[in-house]
Amino acid sequence: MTARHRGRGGNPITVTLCENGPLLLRGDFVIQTQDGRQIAVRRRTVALCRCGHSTVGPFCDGTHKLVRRRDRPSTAAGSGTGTDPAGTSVDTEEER
Amino acid sequence: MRLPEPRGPVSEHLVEVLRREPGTVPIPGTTRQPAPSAVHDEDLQLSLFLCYELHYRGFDEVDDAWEWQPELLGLRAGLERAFEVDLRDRVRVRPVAPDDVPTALGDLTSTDHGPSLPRHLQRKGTLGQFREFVLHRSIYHRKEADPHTWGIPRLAGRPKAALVEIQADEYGGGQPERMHAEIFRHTMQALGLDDGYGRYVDAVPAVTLATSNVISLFGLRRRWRGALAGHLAAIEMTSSQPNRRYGAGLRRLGGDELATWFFDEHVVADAVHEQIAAHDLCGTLARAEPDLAADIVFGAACALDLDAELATHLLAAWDRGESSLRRPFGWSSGQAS
Ligand code: FES
Ligand SMILES: [Fe+2]
Ligand SMILES: [Fe+2]
Repeated sequence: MTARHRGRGGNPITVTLCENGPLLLRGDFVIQTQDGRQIAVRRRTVALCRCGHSTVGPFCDGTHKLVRRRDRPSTAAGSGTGTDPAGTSVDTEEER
Repeated sequence: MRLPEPRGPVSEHLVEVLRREPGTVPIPGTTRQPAPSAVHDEDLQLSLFLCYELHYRGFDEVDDAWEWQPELLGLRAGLERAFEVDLRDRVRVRPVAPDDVPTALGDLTSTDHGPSLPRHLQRKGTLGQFREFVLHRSIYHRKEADPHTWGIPRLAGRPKAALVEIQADEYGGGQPERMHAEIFRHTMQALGLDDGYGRYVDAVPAVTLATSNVISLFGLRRRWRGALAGHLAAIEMTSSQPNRRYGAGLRRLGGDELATWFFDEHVVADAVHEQIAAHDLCGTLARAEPDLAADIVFGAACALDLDAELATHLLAAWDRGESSLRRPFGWSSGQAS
């Protein structure tokens, strides 16, 4: 068997950039806050919000679909994690 | 579960015959006049539901051997043809290039297909209406994920892995208490509903049965594997935001964390599932089997159409100040009141 470098438990971590959407994380990842507090993850694959508008951050809740298209994060390499949330508008109504 | 009450000549014959020994009673082809809309044909949808349920958990009074009785399968095929004709009539989809399938699904699921049931239940629905809504949904959610699982052995490679990835999460990643069909029981209990499997079949109209039957139709026939994948994608792609509203509505009505768990869970889970379903499942399936592209979009459109039809039924009944159920119901007292 070939030994390959893998994530902690043996699963390589992959990050998938969804077009105009979240980042999908697979593998043995850990999500934590800046001060090292671990955020509970209850599923093998998670979607991390990168539009800044999710109501259940850091996870995606589909709100990105309501963000005007031109303000959406793209998948282009080097475009960072998306646009400044403060500069975007969301087509949801008051009742969010 | 127990056999339901018949709703017409075909279901009456079925309920009668299924109690006997399998194969000893021939089932005549149906000569009945079909109702104008198969989706709203009580007798047809209940009969289909009966035939399909033999492939899931069966009925207490029915011998398991009925599942593959040729006469019964013949009868079912006739009912399915009528259902399919109606669906083809209701749902028109334009031809789509295999590479464009994810985009087509995105466009389809981002346009409005009917009145907003989620908005109503979030802002002003009563506890009684919420309870009815959950009761309708229990027909599918108590077997949530099962009909789409029929697709797994019919796919290969990436689309197969994608479907397994979604379904594994629907089934709680191996933890029985986290299976979506189980989490739904907490919502039912909080609303004073009986969470028994198939408990409310007699209470719901044809259109509710149709929302469940259509997945069995696509799931049990290999030729419909494209439509099955598209159906799943449409459900996943129209789930996060509506479930956020349902959860908020139930909280407004006094539901606690356990009561809203099902909805809260779907906000996060389906934001993941929709990406996998649109791209890894449907996108790669369309590229691997280009002939399925149109079916994928058709299946998605069927899901949206029937969902909208059910929403229309609920809101219209409530608008008239009536119950959306087939018969009035006595409730035990729930916690969320
Ligand atoms: S990326 Fe989906 S809500 Fe932000
Ligand atoms: Fe689910
Ligand atoms: Fe899902």
